[in-house]
Amino acid sequence: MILQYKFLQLSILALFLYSILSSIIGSFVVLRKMTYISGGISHAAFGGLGLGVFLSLNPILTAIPFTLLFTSFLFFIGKKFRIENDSIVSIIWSLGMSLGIIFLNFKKGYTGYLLGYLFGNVLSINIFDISLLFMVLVLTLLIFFIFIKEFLFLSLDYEYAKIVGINSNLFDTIFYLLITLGIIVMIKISGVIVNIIFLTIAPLITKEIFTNIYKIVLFNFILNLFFSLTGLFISYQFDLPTGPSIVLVSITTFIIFKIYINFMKVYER
Amino acid sequence: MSSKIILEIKNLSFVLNGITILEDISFRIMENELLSIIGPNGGGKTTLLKLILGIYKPTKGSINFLEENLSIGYLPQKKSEFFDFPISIYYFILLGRYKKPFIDFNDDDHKKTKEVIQRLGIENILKKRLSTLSGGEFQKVLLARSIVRDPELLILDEPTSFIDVKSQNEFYNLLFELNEKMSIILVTHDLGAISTKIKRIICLNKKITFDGDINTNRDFVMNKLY
Repeated sequence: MILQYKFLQLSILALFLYSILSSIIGSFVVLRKMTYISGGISHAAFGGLGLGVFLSLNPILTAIPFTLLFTSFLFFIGKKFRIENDSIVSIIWSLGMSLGIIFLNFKKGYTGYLLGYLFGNVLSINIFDISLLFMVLVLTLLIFFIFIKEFLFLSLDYEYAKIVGINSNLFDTIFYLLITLGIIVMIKISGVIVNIIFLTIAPLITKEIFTNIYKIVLFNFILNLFFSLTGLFISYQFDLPTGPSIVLVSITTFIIFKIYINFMKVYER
Repeated sequence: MSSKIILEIKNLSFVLNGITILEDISFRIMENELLSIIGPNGGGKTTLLKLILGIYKPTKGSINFLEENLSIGYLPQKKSEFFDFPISIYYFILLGRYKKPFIDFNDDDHKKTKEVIQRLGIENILKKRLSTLSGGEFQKVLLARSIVRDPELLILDEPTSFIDVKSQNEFYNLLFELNEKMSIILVTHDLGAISTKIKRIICLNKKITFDGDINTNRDFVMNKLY
């Protein structure tokens, strides 16, 4: 029985918590059409992880303040010099990545970290990572479900939400802080690249089926859990890297779903 | 119409990136009045609405409401495709009753939402997705969201742009009915789309070029407009 291994038990627990967290964050990232920004944040975090390795500190704990300061500073510069948001995100994307690689390059023998942070390594998860993930998950659950109306309204119709009195600046800041925290604590499990897929694919499927945010979040969780456990099983069975296996499972599911939906539309006509 | 002033705009100007969009705008709207603002594209109509709604701040001049927290309903100029969003039509309308954080929707909010849905005759479309609604259906849903909070002032931005003539007449009849309970500002760029029942219009092209009864001299208004 493969589940007798402690590292696998921890990995499955991590994937379970990860699936809940990514289902909440991913729902709002997709509904607010922010997948590109979340990709930028993931890559900015890579700079912070590299800095942590370079300074011999815990990379996850360095990545949190680094990403917040780095992305806030660049968005501020973008606003000041009237540079479009998508251009700023592209700069954040490549600069974050470049800084991360430069920092890792200074620390001899640590370039192996590169692949781990790009595609994740759920099998190397420890108790500290799980505790951090759990704390961020509780915080996210609390905030999103207390302010579900506000987040939903801002995602649906930003201008009207402001007109009815929702403090958009406050909720944008909270949203940005939560997705940054979420993305960083998820990186060790799924890595920068896989994170983006995890936040995107399940909501793209569920938003076509349901019109209720709670159902969307619940089924995102079920799908993400399916993607991650199937990916983990395939990687274990065939000795493949876990992150890319999860990506393949989720994208294959998405393609099958789209073909099915299009077939049904043609059939209904 | 009563003589109570709902909204008073005095010497309002708005400059954006060094370009004057609106200059020295002054007018009042009374309780239960229906006022139509018309003007060419780029004449500053939507900017004026956004100033009234508080989205923009005036460069000069003032916008004063009868009450500090005057309830305003707003129908934006949007197509249903814009809302490719997984939300039920019922909840979309209910969100119009939003009050503030920590306060959930109560029985009154649900009662009012059901009442508005029934009044606008949109019970049969509640199971559809927003993005699949026809132009007329979607305008009714937007109208439902804007009146569900019982506004004292209803602002509509080009509400008949995406609907056919039959639905336009139906829509205007609804507006006249609503006008008995609230003041209305209706913005459009198309004089032909304005019902002949509407009396007061303001022609806006950066400045106010006409403010009065359209029926007294339609040709004069046409000259002022274009």
